[in-house]
Amino acid sequence: MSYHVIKAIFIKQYKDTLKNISILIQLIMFPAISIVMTSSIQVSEIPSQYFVILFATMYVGMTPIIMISNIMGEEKEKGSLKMLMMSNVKPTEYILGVSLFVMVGCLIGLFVMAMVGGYRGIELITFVGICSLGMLTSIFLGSVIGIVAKDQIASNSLSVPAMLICSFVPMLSMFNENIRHYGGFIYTQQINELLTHSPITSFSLQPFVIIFLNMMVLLGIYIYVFQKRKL
Amino acid sequence: MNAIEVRGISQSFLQKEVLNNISFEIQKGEIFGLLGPSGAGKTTLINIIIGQIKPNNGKTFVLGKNSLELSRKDYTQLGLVLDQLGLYERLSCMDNLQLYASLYQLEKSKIEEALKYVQLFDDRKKTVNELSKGMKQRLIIARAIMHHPQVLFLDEPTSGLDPATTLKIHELLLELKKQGTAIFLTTHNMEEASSLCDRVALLNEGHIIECDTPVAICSRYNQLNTVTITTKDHHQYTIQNNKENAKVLFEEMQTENILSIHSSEPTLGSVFISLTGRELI
Repeated sequence: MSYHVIKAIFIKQYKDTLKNISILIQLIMFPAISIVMTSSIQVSEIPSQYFVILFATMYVGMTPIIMISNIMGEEKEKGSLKMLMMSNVKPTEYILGVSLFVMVGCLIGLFVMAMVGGYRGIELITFVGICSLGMLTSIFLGSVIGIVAKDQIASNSLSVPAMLICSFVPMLSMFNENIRHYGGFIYTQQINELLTHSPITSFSLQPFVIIFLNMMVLLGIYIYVFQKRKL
Repeated sequence: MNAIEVRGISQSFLQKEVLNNISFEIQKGEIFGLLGPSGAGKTTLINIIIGQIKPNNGKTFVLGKNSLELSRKDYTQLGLVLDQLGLYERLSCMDNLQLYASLYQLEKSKIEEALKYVQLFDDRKKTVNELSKGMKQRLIIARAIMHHPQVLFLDEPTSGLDPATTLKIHELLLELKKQGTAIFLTTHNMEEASSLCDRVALLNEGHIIECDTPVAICSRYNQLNTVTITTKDHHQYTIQNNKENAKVLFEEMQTENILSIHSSEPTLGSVFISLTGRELI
């Protein structure tokens, strides 16, 4: 693996995303909504970090999946991915370059959300750390979709149900006990509960085990799909 | 050492034979054209030569190295112009080339040099969306030659382009040939192959049915061996191209009565049709 190749892919993705409104909006939308909601709705019954936690969970379960799968789908459709592969960019270098960009972009968004939620010091690190675990898992899921999809339309139709499950189940589980029970196996639900039930001293091991298992399962699928289909 | 060597390549997809025992070699500074109708297996062969597809049978070598063992360094000696443009539409010409310059670890001056070479330097800040089809084609040629490859692969480089842009691209390719670049070109354009290529191979249903210089192939199938003379009074007649008719031709020339003379040798297109019964579309 070569550092300069990963860097070149990262810079390409940065320049391209700045001019790609449909991808850029994914990065900005949830931090922007959380700013608006937190500052405009201040009711004593609702905790001050309620909207930040809600939208951070959606951000984690939606944005990386859509971004990665869309980027890969478009590159396949336009033939630019094939061209990169034929210029001897290794598939792992390409995925690392794009994933790194998505991760950095999302971390900036998360940092903004953390500021809005008033997280400081150890709370801030915990918030970003927990969300990063979820993002990494979502990146694996998005990459699996990106590898399987042949073009942008296919990547959209595959990523929409995946992100709906990941981002909406934690929200819906507030209203339905069954969804809450089964949703407990999904990493985003665990992230939502970890963020809701901070501080750090009260964390149990179980949510982390479930997130880790989700990550390992998706990583396994990713490796299998990658070896079978390449890029 | 040959720039490209193809030895007994056979390839099938889903039990359909695409290439059958294909062999040829290309020297440095040579333009080699692979001619065949759409779906004849031309792109598959390029993919095999550059090591993207492992063939069922046979071996290919690029600059003396087995295609399946090409290293990252070897790839820097190859330039590729493929059927899909593979450009980033939202990025400028400069940014598109910048990506590949970074991959090849080239200096910025190489990007400018390539853009000037394909006459796109003044449009370097335009996004690919804003370019015409011909300009996009020149941009991908710039991308392919920026790192001064020793071997250049072009898959239908002038397909769908206007004659002026096609001519410009031909001039670029001839210039590269002069510099010693081996050029492997696939096309179904007969005129392009005749005017540009040192040698051509005609590919039909997975087999090479002819491989030689365009002139040699056309002469080989010149069964009529006649010349058609058009005189200044627009009278046209055809005579056999032999010793007996030399006198007729000589007399016409002496009286300065000839408007044009055309020999009857077939074009590459008509040779292909006569050999395969199908057109090159």
